Amino acid sequence: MDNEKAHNKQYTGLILVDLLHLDYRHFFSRYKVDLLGFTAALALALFIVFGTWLILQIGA
Amino acid sequence: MAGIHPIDIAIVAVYLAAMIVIGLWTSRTIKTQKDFFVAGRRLNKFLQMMINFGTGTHTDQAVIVASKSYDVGISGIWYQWLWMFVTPFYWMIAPIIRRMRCITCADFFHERFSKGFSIYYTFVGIMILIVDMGIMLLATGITVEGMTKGAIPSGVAVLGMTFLFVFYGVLGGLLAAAITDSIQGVLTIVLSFLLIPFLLHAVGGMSGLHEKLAPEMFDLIAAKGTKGLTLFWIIMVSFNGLVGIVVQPHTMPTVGAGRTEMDCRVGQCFGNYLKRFCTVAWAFIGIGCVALYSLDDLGGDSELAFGRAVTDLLPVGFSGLMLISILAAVMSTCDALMVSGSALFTNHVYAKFLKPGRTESHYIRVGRLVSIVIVACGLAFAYCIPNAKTGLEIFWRANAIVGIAFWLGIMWRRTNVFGAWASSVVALLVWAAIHIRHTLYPDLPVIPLQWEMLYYLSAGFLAGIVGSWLTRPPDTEQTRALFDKLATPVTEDETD
Repeated sequence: MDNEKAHNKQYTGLILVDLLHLDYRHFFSRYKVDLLGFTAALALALFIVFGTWLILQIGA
Repeated sequence: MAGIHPIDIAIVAVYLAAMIVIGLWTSRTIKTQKDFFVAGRRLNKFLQMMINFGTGTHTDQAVIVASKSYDVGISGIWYQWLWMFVTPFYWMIAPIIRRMRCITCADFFHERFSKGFSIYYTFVGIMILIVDMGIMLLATGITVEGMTKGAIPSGVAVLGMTFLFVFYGVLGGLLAAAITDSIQGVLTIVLSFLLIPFLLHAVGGMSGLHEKLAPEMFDLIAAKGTKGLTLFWIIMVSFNGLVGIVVQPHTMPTVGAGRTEMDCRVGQCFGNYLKRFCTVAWAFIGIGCVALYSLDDLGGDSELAFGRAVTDLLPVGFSGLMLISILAAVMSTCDALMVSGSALFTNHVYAKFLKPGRTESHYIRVGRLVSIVIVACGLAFAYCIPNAKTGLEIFWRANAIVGIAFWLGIMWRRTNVFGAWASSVVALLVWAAIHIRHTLYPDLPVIPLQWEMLYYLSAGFLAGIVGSWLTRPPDTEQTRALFDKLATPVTEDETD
Protein backbone atom coordinates (compact mmCIF):
# COMPACT_ATOMS: atom_id res chain seq x y z
CA MET A 1 0.00 0.00 0.00
CA ASP A 2 1.41 3.36 -0.99
CA ASN A 3 1.38 5.46 2.19
CA GLU A 4 2.25 8.70 0.47
CA LYS A 5 -0.62 8.26 -1.95
CA ALA A 6 -2.93 7.56 0.97
CA HIS A 7 -2.03 10.70 2.86
CA ASN A 8 -2.16 12.89 -0.23
CA LYS A 9 -5.85 12.25 -0.75
CA GLN A 10 -7.01 15.29 1.15
CA TYR A 11 -10.68 15.22 0.39
CA THR A 12 -11.50 11.60 1.05
CA GLY A 13 -10.95 11.19 4.77
CA LEU A 14 -13.34 8.95 6.65
CA ILE A 15 -14.64 10.60 9.78
CA LEU A 16 -15.40 7.41 11.70
CA VAL A 17 -11.91 5.94 11.29
CA ASP A 18 -9.23 6.51 13.94
CA LEU A 19 -11.20 9.06 15.96
CA LEU A 20 -8.26 10.13 18.11
CA HIS A 21 -6.29 11.24 15.03
CA LEU A 22 -8.84 13.20 13.04
CA ASP A 23 -7.51 16.00 10.85
CA TYR A 24 -9.06 18.95 12.70
CA ARG A 25 -7.01 21.55 10.79
CA HIS A 26 -8.67 20.61 7.47
CA PHE A 27 -11.80 19.14 8.99
CA PHE A 28 -14.42 20.40 6.53
CA SER A 29 -12.37 19.93 3.37
CA ARG A 30 -10.98 16.54 4.30
CA TYR A 31 -14.29 15.06 5.45
CA LYS A 32 -16.46 16.99 2.98
CA VAL A 33 -17.99 13.93 1.30
CA ASP A 34 -18.82 12.27 4.62
CA LEU A 35 -20.27 15.45 6.14
CA LEU A 36 -22.36 16.59 3.17
CA GLY A 37 -23.75 13.15 2.45
CA PHE A 38 -24.55 12.49 6.10
CA THR A 39 -26.36 15.82 6.39
CA ALA A 40 -28.39 15.16 3.24
CA ALA A 41 -29.27 11.64 4.40
CA LEU A 42 -30.25 12.91 7.85
CA ALA A 43 -32.45 15.56 6.25
CA LEU A 44 -34.12 12.83 4.20
CA ALA A 45 -34.77 10.81 7.35
CA LEU A 46 -36.36 13.81 9.04
CA PHE A 47 -38.40 14.49 5.90
CA ILE A 48 -39.79 10.94 5.89
CA VAL A 49 -40.70 11.11 9.59
CA PHE A 50 -42.24 14.57 9.26
CA GLY A 51 -44.08 13.58 6.07
CA THR A 52 -45.53 10.53 7.77
CA TRP A 53 -46.64 12.67 10.72
CA LEU A 54 -48.31 15.12 8.30
CA ILE A 55 -50.16 12.31 6.51
CA LEU A 56 -51.40 11.06 9.88
CA GLN A 57 -52.98 14.46 10.54
CA ILE A 58 -55.15 14.25 7.42
CA GLY A 59 -58.79 13.86 8.42
CA ALA A 60 -58.12 14.35 12.15
CA MET B 1 -56.82 -24.18 -6.31
CA ALA B 2 -59.02 -22.82 -3.51
CA GLY B 3 -58.18 -19.28 -2.47
CA ILE B 4 -56.18 -18.40 -5.60
CA HIS B 5 -57.55 -17.34 -8.98
CA PRO B 6 -56.00 -18.99 -12.10
CA ILE B 7 -54.75 -15.55 -13.24
CA ASP B 8 -52.86 -15.23 -9.96
CA ILE B 9 -51.38 -18.72 -10.43
CA ALA B 10 -50.25 -17.81 -13.96
CA ILE B 11 -48.57 -14.62 -12.74
CA VAL B 12 -46.69 -16.54 -10.04
CA ALA B 13 -45.63 -19.25 -12.55
CA VAL B 14 -44.21 -16.69 -15.02
CA TYR B 15 -42.29 -14.98 -12.25
CA LEU B 16 -40.80 -18.23 -10.95
CA ALA B 17 -39.68 -19.24 -14.45
CA ALA B 18 -37.99 -15.85 -14.92
CA MET B 19 -35.99 -16.33 -11.72
CA ILE B 20 -34.67 -19.71 -12.91
CA VAL B 21 -33.60 -18.21 -16.25
CA ILE B 22 -31.71 -15.42 -14.44
CA GLY B 23 -29.87 -17.98 -12.28
CA LEU B 24 -28.80 -19.96 -15.34
CA TRP B 25 -27.76 -16.87 -17.25
CA THR B 26 -25.62 -15.36 -14.48
CA SER B 27 -23.95 -18.70 -13.69
CA ARG B 28 -21.98 -18.32 -16.95
CA THR B 29 -20.20 -15.24 -15.58
CA ILE B 30 -18.92 -16.90 -12.37
CA LYS B 31 -15.20 -17.67 -12.64
CA THR B 32 -13.62 -16.54 -9.37
CA GLN B 33 -14.58 -16.38 -5.70
CA LYS B 34 -14.97 -12.59 -6.02
CA ASP B 35 -17.43 -13.12 -8.86
CA PHE B 36 -19.48 -15.45 -6.67
CA PHE B 37 -19.28 -13.71 -3.30
CA VAL B 38 -19.07 -9.98 -4.15
CA ALA B 39 -20.25 -10.00 -7.79
CA GLY B 40 -16.71 -9.16 -8.95
CA ARG B 41 -17.15 -5.76 -7.22
CA ARG B 42 -18.81 -4.43 -10.36
CA LEU B 43 -22.31 -3.40 -9.16
CA ASN B 44 -23.33 0.10 -10.17
CA LYS B 45 -25.41 2.50 -8.04
CA PHE B 46 -28.77 1.09 -9.14
CA LEU B 47 -27.85 -2.57 -8.55
CA GLN B 48 -26.19 -1.59 -5.27
CA MET B 49 -29.36 0.16 -4.13
CA MET B 50 -31.50 -2.77 -5.13
CA ILE B 51 -29.35 -5.44 -3.49
CA ASN B 52 -29.20 -3.39 -0.29
CA PHE B 53 -32.94 -2.86 -0.41
CA GLY B 54 -33.69 -6.46 -1.37
CA THR B 55 -31.35 -7.98 1.19
CA GLY B 56 -32.74 -5.86 3.98
CA THR B 57 -36.41 -6.24 3.14
CA HIS B 58 -38.51 -9.30 3.76
CA THR B 59 -41.99 -10.45 4.57
CA ASP B 60 -41.59 -11.00 8.27
CA GLN B 61 -40.82 -7.28 8.64
CA ALA B 62 -44.08 -6.28 6.93
CA VAL B 63 -45.92 -8.81 9.08
CA ILE B 64 -44.27 -7.65 12.33
CA VAL B 65 -44.68 -3.90 11.65
CA ALA B 66 -48.34 -4.35 10.65
CA SER B 67 -48.89 -6.55 13.70
CA LYS B 68 -47.14 -4.17 16.12
CA SER B 69 -49.04 -1.19 14.66
CA TYR B 70 -52.26 -3.16 15.07
CA ASP B 71 -51.34 -3.76 18.75
CA VAL B 72 -49.97 -0.36 19.84
CA GLY B 73 -50.76 2.14 17.10
CA ILE B 74 -48.59 3.81 14.47
CA SER B 75 -45.61 3.90 16.86
CA GLY B 76 -45.23 0.20 15.98
CA ILE B 77 -43.50 1.53 12.87
CA TRP B 78 -40.34 1.88 14.96
CA TYR B 79 -39.92 -1.90 14.92
CA GLN B 80 -38.39 -1.22 11.49
CA TRP B 81 -37.81 2.51 11.66
CA LEU B 82 -35.32 1.81 14.42
CA TRP B 83 -32.92 1.95 11.45
CA MET B 84 -34.22 5.36 10.30
CA PHE B 85 -31.60 7.43 12.10
CA VAL B 86 -28.97 4.73 11.63
CA THR B 87 -29.36 4.99 7.85
CA PRO B 88 -27.47 8.33 7.47
CA PHE B 89 -24.49 6.61 9.09
CA TYR B 90 -24.54 4.09 6.22
CA TRP B 91 -23.21 6.92 4.05
CA MET B 92 -20.06 6.96 6.20
CA ILE B 93 -19.86 3.21 6.85
CA ALA B 94 -20.04 2.08 3.20
CA PRO B 95 -16.64 3.46 2.08
CA ILE B 96 -15.00 2.05 5.21
CA ILE B 97 -16.25 -1.40 4.25
CA ARG B 98 -15.19 -0.95 0.62
CA ARG B 99 -11.73 0.29 1.56
CA MET B 100 -11.15 -2.73 3.76
CA ARG B 101 -11.02 -4.72 0.48
CA CYS B 102 -12.26 -7.76 2.37
CA ILE B 103 -14.80 -10.30 1.19
CA THR B 104 -16.27 -10.91 4.65
CA CYS B 105 -16.18 -9.29 8.07
CA ALA B 106 -14.08 -12.23 9.29
CA ASP B 107 -11.30 -11.06 6.94
CA PHE B 108 -11.34 -7.72 8.73
CA PHE B 109 -11.25 -9.33 12.19
CA HIS B 110 -8.33 -11.50 11.07
CA GLU B 111 -6.35 -8.51 9.80
CA ARG B 112 -7.20 -6.28 12.75
CA PHE B 113 -7.12 -8.72 15.66
CA SER B 114 -6.34 -12.42 15.21
CA LYS B 115 -7.18 -15.64 13.47
CA GLY B 116 -8.97 -16.86 16.61
CA PHE B 117 -11.31 -13.87 16.72
CA SER B 118 -12.12 -14.24 13.02
CA ILE B 119 -13.02 -17.91 13.53
CA TYR B 120 -15.21 -16.93 16.50
CA TYR B 121 -16.95 -14.39 14.28
CA THR B 122 -17.31 -16.94 11.46
CA PHE B 123 -19.28 -19.34 13.61
CA VAL B 124 -21.35 -16.61 15.32
CA GLY B 125 -22.02 -15.10 11.88
CA ILE B 126 -23.19 -18.36 10.37
CA MET B 127 -25.47 -18.97 13.34
CA ILE B 128 -26.92 -15.46 12.97
CA LEU B 129 -27.62 -16.16 9.29
CA ILE B 130 -29.28 -19.47 10.04
CA VAL B 131 -31.51 -17.87 12.70
CA ASP B 132 -32.36 -14.98 10.37
CA MET B 133 -33.18 -17.29 7.49
CA GLY B 134 -35.30 -19.53 9.71
CA ILE B 135 -37.38 -16.59 10.99
CA MET B 136 -37.97 -15.29 7.47
CA LEU B 137 -38.92 -18.61 5.95
CA LEU B 138 -41.32 -19.42 8.76
CA ALA B 139 -43.04 -16.01 8.74
CA THR B 140 -43.39 -16.08 4.98
CA GLY B 141 -44.71 -19.62 4.93
CA ILE B 142 -47.39 -18.69 7.45
CA THR B 143 -48.33 -15.55 5.48
CA VAL B 144 -48.64 -17.49 2.23
CA GLU B 145 -50.80 -20.09 3.95
CA GLY B 146 -53.02 -17.32 5.33
CA MET B 147 -53.25 -15.52 1.98
CA THR B 148 -54.19 -18.66 0.08
CA LYS B 149 -56.64 -19.66 2.82
CA GLY B 150 -54.70 -22.88 3.40
CA ALA B 151 -54.48 -23.86 -0.30
CA ILE B 152 -50.68 -23.67 -0.04
CA PRO B 153 -49.66 -25.05 3.37
CA SER B 154 -46.84 -23.27 5.17
CA GLY B 155 -44.45 -26.22 4.81
CA VAL B 156 -44.97 -26.45 1.04
CA ALA B 157 -44.49 -22.70 0.62
CA VAL B 158 -41.24 -22.81 2.60
CA LEU B 159 -39.87 -25.73 0.58
CA GLY B 160 -40.88 -24.16 -2.75
CA MET B 161 -39.25 -20.83 -1.92
CA THR B 162 -36.13 -22.58 -0.67
CA PHE B 163 -35.74 -24.65 -3.82
CA LEU B 164 -35.99 -21.56 -6.00
CA PHE B 165 -33.59 -19.25 -4.21
CA VAL B 166 -31.07 -22.05 -3.70
CA PHE B 167 -31.28 -22.78 -7.43
CA TYR B 168 -30.55 -19.31 -8.73
CA GLY B 169 -28.34 -18.28 -5.80
CA VAL B 170 -26.08 -21.35 -5.96
CA LEU B 171 -25.69 -20.98 -9.71
CA GLY B 172 -25.29 -17.24 -9.99
CA GLY B 173 -23.91 -16.15 -6.59
CA LEU B 174 -24.29 -12.51 -5.60
CA LEU B 175 -24.71 -11.25 -9.18
CA ALA B 176 -27.86 -13.38 -9.58
CA ALA B 177 -29.04 -12.06 -6.23
CA ALA B 178 -28.43 -8.46 -7.35
CA ILE B 179 -30.36 -8.83 -10.61
CA THR B 180 -33.30 -10.64 -9.03
CA ASP B 181 -33.28 -8.08 -6.21
CA SER B 182 -33.75 -5.32 -8.78
CA ILE B 183 -36.94 -6.94 -10.06
CA GLN B 184 -38.15 -7.95 -6.62
CA GLY B 185 -37.28 -4.61 -5.07
CA VAL B 186 -39.49 -2.70 -7.48
CA LEU B 187 -42.32 -5.19 -6.92
CA THR B 188 -42.02 -4.86 -3.15
CA ILE B 189 -42.17 -1.06 -3.25
CA VAL B 190 -45.14 -0.92 -5.61
CA LEU B 191 -47.16 -3.58 -3.88
CA SER B 192 -46.52 -2.31 -0.37
CA PHE B 193 -48.37 0.86 -1.35
CA LEU B 194 -50.91 -0.82 -3.61
CA LEU B 195 -52.96 -2.01 -0.67
CA ILE B 196 -53.32 1.45 0.87
CA PRO B 197 -56.05 2.88 -1.45
CA PHE B 198 -58.13 -0.28 -1.08
CA LEU B 199 -57.68 -0.15 2.68
CA LEU B 200 -58.61 3.53 2.92
CA HIS B 201 -61.65 2.93 0.74
CA ALA B 202 -62.76 0.13 3.07
CA VAL B 203 -62.44 2.24 6.25
CA GLY B 204 -63.94 5.46 4.81
CA GLY B 205 -60.73 7.36 4.10
CA MET B 206 -58.41 9.02 6.62
CA SER B 207 -61.33 10.76 8.34
CA GLY B 208 -63.07 7.40 8.72
CA LEU B 209 -59.89 5.96 10.21
CA HIS B 210 -59.66 8.82 12.73
CA GLU B 211 -63.31 8.31 13.74
CA LYS B 212 -62.84 4.58 14.31
CA LEU B 213 -59.53 4.67 16.25
CA ALA B 214 -58.44 6.27 19.53
CA PRO B 215 -56.30 9.43 19.02
CA GLU B 216 -53.21 7.86 20.68
CA MET B 217 -53.13 5.24 17.90
CA PHE B 218 -51.84 8.07 15.66
CA ASP B 219 -48.95 9.10 17.95
CA LEU B 220 -45.66 8.43 16.14
CA ILE B 221 -43.87 8.39 19.50
CA ALA B 222 -45.86 6.97 22.38
CA ALA B 223 -46.06 8.79 25.72
CA LYS B 224 -44.38 7.09 28.69
CA GLY B 225 -46.73 4.72 30.45
CA THR B 226 -48.72 3.88 27.33
CA LYS B 227 -48.35 0.61 25.47
CA GLY B 228 -46.59 2.22 22.48
CA LEU B 229 -42.83 2.52 21.81
CA THR B 230 -41.23 5.39 23.75
CA LEU B 231 -38.43 7.76 22.74
CA PHE B 232 -35.92 5.94 24.97
CA TRP B 233 -36.83 2.61 23.36
CA ILE B 234 -36.32 4.15 19.92
CA ILE B 235 -32.94 5.70 20.83
CA MET B 236 -31.54 2.55 22.44
CA VAL B 237 -32.72 0.13 19.78
CA SER B 238 -31.41 2.49 17.06
CA PHE B 239 -28.00 2.73 18.73
CA ASN B 240 -27.93 -1.04 19.14
CA GLY B 241 -28.78 -1.32 15.43
CA LEU B 242 -25.89 0.96 14.48
CA VAL B 243 -23.46 -1.12 16.53
CA GLY B 244 -24.72 -4.38 15.04
CA ILE B 245 -25.31 -3.52 11.37
CA VAL B 246 -21.62 -3.60 10.44
CA VAL B 247 -21.16 -7.22 11.45
CA GLN B 248 -24.33 -8.63 9.96
CA PRO B 249 -22.72 -11.29 7.76
CA HIS B 250 -24.39 -10.10 4.57
CA THR B 251 -23.36 -6.45 5.09
CA MET B 252 -19.76 -6.67 3.90
CA PRO B 253 -20.38 -8.76 0.75
CA THR B 254 -23.38 -6.68 -0.34
CA VAL B 255 -22.00 -3.24 0.53
CA GLY B 256 -18.51 -4.13 -0.71
CA ALA B 257 -19.82 -5.30 -4.08
CA GLY B 258 -19.98 -1.73 -5.41
CA ARG B 259 -17.64 -0.67 -8.18
CA THR B 260 -16.66 2.62 -6.52
CA GLU B 261 -16.94 4.09 -3.04
CA MET B 262 -19.72 6.38 -4.21
CA ASP B 263 -21.66 3.39 -5.60
CA CYS B 264 -21.33 1.75 -2.20
CA ARG B 265 -22.40 4.90 -0.33
CA VAL B 266 -25.43 5.55 -2.55
CA GLY B 267 -26.38 1.89 -2.62
CA GLN B 268 -26.29 1.22 1.09
CA CYS B 269 -27.75 4.54 2.18
CA PHE B 270 -30.50 5.13 -0.34
CA GLY B 271 -31.28 1.46 -0.96
CA ASN B 272 -32.22 1.30 2.70
CA TYR B 273 -34.27 4.51 2.48
CA LEU B 274 -36.50 2.72 -0.03
CA LYS B 275 -37.28 0.32 2.75
CA ARG B 276 -38.13 3.14 5.18
CA PHE B 277 -40.76 4.29 2.68
CA CYS B 278 -42.25 0.80 2.46
CA THR B 279 -42.39 0.65 6.25
CA VAL B 280 -44.84 3.58 6.23
CA ALA B 281 -47.21 1.49 4.12
CA TRP B 282 -46.91 -1.54 6.41
CA ALA B 283 -47.70 0.52 9.52
CA PHE B 284 -50.73 2.09 7.81
CA ILE B 285 -51.96 -1.39 6.94
CA GLY B 286 -51.60 -2.30 10.64
CA ILE B 287 -53.69 0.58 11.98
CA GLY B 288 -56.17 0.22 9.09
CA CYS B 289 -56.71 -3.39 10.15
CA VAL B 290 -57.72 -2.20 13.65
CA ALA B 291 -60.68 -0.47 12.01
CA LEU B 292 -61.54 -3.54 9.96
CA TYR B 293 -60.93 -6.52 12.21
CA SER B 294 -61.24 -7.31 15.89
CA LEU B 295 -58.54 -9.49 17.44
CA ASP B 296 -61.09 -12.32 17.48
CA ASP B 297 -61.52 -11.94 13.72
CA LEU B 298 -57.79 -12.62 13.44
CA GLY B 299 -57.98 -15.68 15.66
CA GLY B 300 -56.25 -13.82 18.50
CA ASP B 301 -53.04 -13.36 16.49
CA SER B 302 -52.33 -9.86 15.18
CA GLU B 303 -49.51 -11.23 12.97
CA LEU B 304 -52.26 -12.46 10.63
CA ALA B 305 -53.51 -8.88 10.01
CA PHE B 306 -51.25 -8.26 6.99
CA GLY B 307 -52.13 -11.47 5.13
CA ARG B 308 -55.82 -11.06 5.95
CA ALA B 309 -55.94 -7.53 4.54
CA VAL B 310 -54.19 -8.68 1.36
CA THR B 311 -56.67 -11.49 0.80
CA ASP B 312 -59.78 -9.46 1.58
CA LEU B 313 -58.97 -6.14 -0.06
CA LEU B 314 -56.95 -6.75 -3.23
CA PRO B 315 -58.78 -7.73 -6.46
CA VAL B 316 -57.94 -10.77 -8.62
CA GLY B 317 -54.56 -10.48 -10.30
CA PHE B 318 -53.24 -8.11 -7.68
CA SER B 319 -53.30 -10.91 -5.12
CA GLY B 320 -50.99 -12.91 -7.40
CA LEU B 321 -48.69 -9.92 -7.68
CA MET B 322 -48.71 -9.50 -3.91
CA LEU B 323 -47.94 -13.19 -3.49
CA ILE B 324 -44.97 -12.74 -5.83
CA SER B 325 -43.87 -9.70 -3.89
CA ILE B 326 -43.96 -11.63 -0.64
CA LEU B 327 -42.10 -14.61 -2.10
CA ALA B 328 -39.68 -12.26 -3.84
CA ALA B 329 -38.85 -10.28 -0.75
CA VAL B 330 -37.91 -13.30 1.31
CA MET B 331 -36.10 -15.10 -1.47
CA SER B 332 -34.01 -12.07 -2.36
CA THR B 333 -32.87 -11.85 1.25
CA CYS B 334 -32.30 -15.56 1.70
CA ASP B 335 -30.17 -15.92 -1.42
CA ALA B 336 -27.87 -13.08 -0.33
CA LEU B 337 -27.69 -14.53 3.21
CA MET B 338 -26.88 -17.93 1.80
CA VAL B 339 -24.02 -16.56 -0.33
CA SER B 340 -22.70 -14.54 2.63
CA GLY B 341 -22.72 -17.55 4.97
CA SER B 342 -21.03 -19.65 2.35
CA ALA B 343 -18.34 -16.97 1.88
CA LEU B 344 -17.68 -16.96 5.62
CA PHE B 345 -17.15 -20.70 5.91
CA THR B 346 -15.31 -21.22 2.62
CA ASN B 347 -12.80 -18.41 3.15
CA HIS B 348 -12.20 -18.62 6.87
CA VAL B 349 -12.45 -22.24 7.78
CA TYR B 350 -12.19 -24.36 4.64
CA ALA B 351 -9.59 -22.40 2.62
CA LYS B 352 -7.47 -21.50 5.64
CA PHE B 353 -7.50 -24.68 7.70
CA LEU B 354 -9.02 -27.60 5.83
CA LYS B 355 -7.83 -27.33 2.21
CA PRO B 356 -5.52 -24.37 1.61
CA GLY B 357 -3.97 -23.70 -1.80
CA ARG B 358 -6.69 -25.20 -4.00
CA THR B 359 -7.98 -23.69 -7.23
CA GLU B 360 -10.64 -20.97 -7.48
CA SER B 361 -13.08 -23.36 -9.11
CA HIS B 362 -12.62 -25.80 -6.22
CA TYR B 363 -13.54 -23.10 -3.69
CA ILE B 364 -16.53 -22.01 -5.76
CA ARG B 365 -17.78 -25.62 -5.80
CA VAL B 366 -17.30 -25.85 -2.04
CA GLY B 367 -19.03 -22.45 -1.63
CA ARG B 368 -22.04 -23.74 -3.53
CA LEU B 369 -22.17 -26.91 -1.45
CA VAL B 370 -21.88 -24.97 1.82
CA SER B 371 -24.69 -22.69 0.64
CA ILE B 372 -26.98 -25.69 0.47
CA VAL B 373 -25.95 -26.93 3.94
CA ILE B 374 -26.58 -23.48 5.47
CA VAL B 375 -30.03 -23.33 3.89
CA ALA B 376 -30.80 -26.82 5.19
CA CYS B 377 -29.91 -25.65 8.73
CA GLY B 378 -32.07 -22.52 8.28
CA LEU B 379 -34.92 -24.68 7.09
CA ALA B 380 -34.59 -26.96 10.12
CA PHE B 381 -34.47 -23.93 12.40
CA ALA B 382 -37.64 -22.52 10.80
CA TYR B 383 -39.58 -25.42 12.30
CA CYS B 384 -38.07 -24.97 15.79
CA ILE B 385 -38.66 -21.26 16.64
CA PRO B 386 -41.74 -20.04 18.53
CA ASN B 387 -42.45 -16.69 16.79
CA ALA B 388 -40.88 -14.09 14.53
CA LYS B 389 -40.79 -11.14 16.98
CA THR B 390 -38.78 -13.03 19.62
CA GLY B 391 -36.39 -14.24 16.94
CA LEU B 392 -35.90 -10.68 15.68
CA GLU B 393 -35.00 -9.36 19.12
CA ILE B 394 -32.42 -12.15 19.58
CA PHE B 395 -31.01 -11.26 16.16
CA TRP B 396 -30.59 -7.58 17.17
CA ARG B 397 -28.69 -8.49 20.32
CA ALA B 398 -26.39 -11.10 18.77
CA ASN B 399 -25.16 -8.68 16.08
CA ALA B 400 -24.44 -5.87 18.53
CA ILE B 401 -22.46 -8.12 20.86
CA VAL B 402 -19.91 -8.81 18.10
CA GLY B 403 -20.27 -5.33 16.58
CA ILE B 404 -18.64 -3.59 19.57
CA ALA B 405 -15.26 -5.08 18.62
CA PHE B 406 -15.66 -3.85 15.02
CA TRP B 407 -16.33 -0.25 16.07
CA LEU B 408 -13.52 -0.20 18.64
CA GLY B 409 -11.23 -1.72 16.01
CA ILE B 410 -11.74 1.05 13.45
CA MET B 411 -12.23 4.00 15.79
CA TRP B 412 -9.34 3.42 18.17
CA ARG B 413 -5.91 2.15 17.07
CA ARG B 414 -5.04 1.07 20.59
CA THR B 415 -7.76 -1.60 20.63
CA ASN B 416 -6.09 -4.99 20.77
CA VAL B 417 -7.23 -8.58 20.50
CA PHE B 418 -7.72 -8.85 24.27
CA GLY B 419 -10.02 -5.82 24.17
CA ALA B 420 -11.97 -7.35 21.29
CA TRP B 421 -12.53 -10.59 23.20
CA ALA B 422 -13.32 -8.69 26.42
CA SER B 423 -15.95 -6.51 24.71
CA SER B 424 -17.76 -9.44 23.19
CA VAL B 425 -17.54 -11.82 26.15
CA VAL B 426 -18.56 -9.21 28.76
CA ALA B 427 -21.53 -8.02 26.65
CA LEU B 428 -22.58 -11.64 26.19
CA LEU B 429 -22.29 -12.33 29.93
CA VAL B 430 -24.41 -9.28 30.80
CA TRP B 431 -27.06 -10.37 28.31
CA ALA B 432 -26.98 -13.93 29.67
CA ALA B 433 -27.13 -12.70 33.29
CA ILE B 434 -30.27 -10.67 32.58
CA HIS B 435 -31.98 -13.67 31.03
CA ILE B 436 -30.88 -16.04 33.78
CA ARG B 437 -32.31 -13.52 36.28
CA HIS B 438 -35.62 -13.56 34.38
CA THR B 439 -35.66 -17.35 34.43
CA LEU B 440 -34.62 -17.86 38.06
CA TYR B 441 -36.67 -15.02 39.52
CA PRO B 442 -39.82 -14.73 37.43
CA ASP B 443 -41.49 -12.63 40.17
CA LEU B 444 -38.96 -9.78 39.79
CA PRO B 445 -39.88 -7.05 37.30
CA VAL B 446 -38.64 -7.82 33.78
CA ILE B 447 -35.82 -5.57 32.54
CA PRO B 448 -37.18 -3.96 29.35
CA LEU B 449 -35.35 -4.49 26.08
CA GLN B 450 -34.09 -0.88 25.90
CA TRP B 451 -32.50 -1.05 29.37
CA GLU B 452 -31.04 -4.46 28.65
CA MET B 453 -29.37 -2.98 25.54
CA LEU B 454 -28.01 -0.05 27.54
CA TYR B 455 -26.47 -2.45 30.08
CA TYR B 456 -24.77 -4.88 27.70
CA LEU B 457 -23.56 -2.21 25.26
CA SER B 458 -22.08 -0.04 28.04
CA ALA B 459 -20.45 -3.06 29.64
CA GLY B 460 -19.09 -4.27 26.29
CA PHE B 461 -17.58 -0.93 25.23
CA LEU B 462 -16.13 -0.36 28.70
CA ALA B 463 -14.61 -3.85 28.81
CA GLY B 464 -13.11 -3.37 25.34
CA ILE B 465 -11.51 -0.04 26.27
CA VAL B 466 -10.25 -1.07 29.72
CA GLY B 467 -9.11 -4.48 28.44
CA SER B 468 -7.07 -2.89 25.64
CA TRP B 469 -5.63 -0.25 27.93
CA LEU B 470 -4.44 -2.68 30.56
CA THR B 471 -2.76 -5.07 28.13
CA ARG B 472 -0.01 -4.83 25.52
CA PRO B 473 -0.71 -2.54 22.52
CA PRO B 474 -1.46 -4.28 19.21
CA ASP B 475 1.31 -4.97 16.70
CA THR B 476 2.20 -1.58 15.18
CA GLU B 477 2.91 -2.87 11.65
CA GLN B 478 -0.28 -4.91 11.48
CA THR B 479 -2.41 -1.98 12.70
CA ARG B 480 -0.71 0.52 10.40
CA ALA B 481 -1.20 -1.70 7.35
CA LEU B 482 -4.93 -1.83 8.01
CA PHE B 483 -5.32 1.89 8.73
CA ASP B 484 -3.29 2.70 5.61
CA LYS B 485 -5.76 0.65 3.59
CA LEU B 486 -8.61 2.60 5.19
CA ALA B 487 -6.88 5.85 4.25
CA THR B 488 -6.47 4.79 0.61
CA PRO B 489 -9.50 5.50 -1.58
CA VAL B 490 -10.69 2.78 -3.94
CA THR B 491 -9.99 3.61 -7.58
CA GLU B 492 -12.50 3.01 -10.39
CA ASP B 493 -10.53 0.13 -11.91
CA GLU B 494 -9.76 -1.59 -8.61
CA THR B 495 -11.45 -4.93 -7.99
CA ASP B 496 -9.66 -6.07 -4.79
